[in-house]
Amino acid sequence: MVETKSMGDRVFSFCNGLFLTLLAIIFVYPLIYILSISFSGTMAVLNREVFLWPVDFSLEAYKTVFESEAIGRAYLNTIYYTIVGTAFELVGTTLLAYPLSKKRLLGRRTFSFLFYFTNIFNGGMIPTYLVVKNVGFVNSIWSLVIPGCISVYYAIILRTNFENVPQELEEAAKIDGMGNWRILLTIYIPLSKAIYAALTLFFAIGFWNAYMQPLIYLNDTAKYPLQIVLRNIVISGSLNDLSNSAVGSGAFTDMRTIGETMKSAAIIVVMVPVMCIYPFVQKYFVKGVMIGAVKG
Amino acid sequence: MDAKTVPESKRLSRKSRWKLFKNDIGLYVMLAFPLLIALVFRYIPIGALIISFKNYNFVQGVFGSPWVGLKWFEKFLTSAKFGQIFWNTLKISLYSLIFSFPCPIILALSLNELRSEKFKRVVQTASYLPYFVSTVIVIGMMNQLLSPTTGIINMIITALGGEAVNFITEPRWFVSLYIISGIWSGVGYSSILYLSALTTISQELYEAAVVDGAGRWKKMWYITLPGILPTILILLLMNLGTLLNVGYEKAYLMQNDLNIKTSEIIGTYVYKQGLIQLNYSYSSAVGMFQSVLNLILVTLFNTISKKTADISLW
Repeated sequence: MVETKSMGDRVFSFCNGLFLTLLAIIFVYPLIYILSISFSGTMAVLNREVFLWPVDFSLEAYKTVFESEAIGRAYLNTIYYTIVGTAFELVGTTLLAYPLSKKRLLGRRTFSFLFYFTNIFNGGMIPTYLVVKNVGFVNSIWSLVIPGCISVYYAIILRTNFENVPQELEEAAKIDGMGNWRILLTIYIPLSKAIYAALTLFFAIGFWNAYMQPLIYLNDTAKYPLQIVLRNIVISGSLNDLSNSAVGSGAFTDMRTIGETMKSAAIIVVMVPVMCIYPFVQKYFVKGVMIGAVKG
Repeated sequence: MDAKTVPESKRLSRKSRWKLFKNDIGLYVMLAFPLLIALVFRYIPIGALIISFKNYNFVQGVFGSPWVGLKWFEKFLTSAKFGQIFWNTLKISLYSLIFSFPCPIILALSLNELRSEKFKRVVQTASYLPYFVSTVIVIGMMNQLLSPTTGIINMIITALGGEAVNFITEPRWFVSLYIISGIWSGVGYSSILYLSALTTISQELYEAAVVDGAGRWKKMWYITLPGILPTILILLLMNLGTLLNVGYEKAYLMQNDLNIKTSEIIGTYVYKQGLIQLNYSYSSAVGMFQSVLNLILVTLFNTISKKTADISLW
């Protein structure tokens, strides 16, 4: 097979390049297809004319989306949940990671295990729901923010990062009379900007894309975030705030009440913020995953 | 562990321990918040699992409700649905392990063979993109692409003379769609772990191999693959441990009346029994059945790998 070395080599490179090009197309094509449909005329879509670019360019679908009160309200809700949720999760995860990064902490191993254990065993959906309900968080933003505000997985990553900060810095600060809080705020956090950028991205995306948590904990449709409203539009095909907890059953019954163009436009509107920040934060994203990988 | 990493506290007297605590009181204050959260929202729910052995009602609450022993577990294990739900869950996991698990490895190896850094970056950027797309959108897009009337896949099928398939409602397509959409979403993200492992392989090994006349396949087989084997093993271990822990969000979003036969998994069943039908005790018992099996699996695979390969998750 590798008789004529350069020949086999070239064939290999060519096939490999072709394979990866195809893959890249597969990754991106669905998004382009939806984008094109959203800008196309309804008839062009029904006549199956849209493949790659918009046909009968039209903004009708977007007009419907922007006029929808449900989407506007859900948009504001999601922005609110994302900002508050991300802030809390950053604080909670830092407060968990920092003390555990100190070898002098008494009971460090016990604490680590206590937190790690919650990752491999938990009470499950109903017992957790009952606790959240008893605390009085159900149907409020706090049900989405507080129970999940310590992320053990990311705390491990952050802890590793803190452990890599040279100890001399902390010792010098102590001599200057700084306490633990000030050392954390003025030395450790500024030195961990890259990892914080990655964490912010992960947490924010998590809240922006959350579907099941809000579905479980919120019962007031006025408080629904985007993903639930989007699901009702795109998968069940209804624009009203019907309680969607009636199982996934309505999923295909009235698929045609909302046109494909409008569904696509709704998807694009929900995705735009994520796609806008993606190019800027991509390098932090890779970094974040890699730091996690090193620790394994 | 070397002597350096042994916590100092182990070798200290009570008095100096107190001093250590007092000097660092700030650290313990910080830890108090996560501890409180973990206690209330992680450990109390574990305690609340006792409702799986009770007939829970709102009036009497978690503690007051009457005990019923293993009634709910028996009900689930002997119910007509049990076999189907359990098998559906297991099938998704096993198919993911067989089909999804190798994909990021192949992608990473393939990217690693690219000579053009620029092209590599373009493909990588494209491959991470799906990871940021929410499950709702993934399923929404999938439904559009596969729509029997306007979807492009069916356009191709009919153009080739085939008959349009309603993939979304066809029970036998559920698992395939679940797996394929999962690969689309996650393969780029997962490949990062392998790509970072690849960077740790010494270039000298490759140079030596070239001197010995090894081609690209041989280099890949004898140097690259063994180089990332520890990463592959640890990820395989994690996958085996969470075998039954199938995410139910996507399955729930893909469910409809017609494909329920294959799309009902433990997670979706727990959700519907608990929060829609309000059978709290029964739902809690089904969930607990799954969590306990999970715990056993994680512990089992961790012990095996610790003994055989010295790889451990904790």
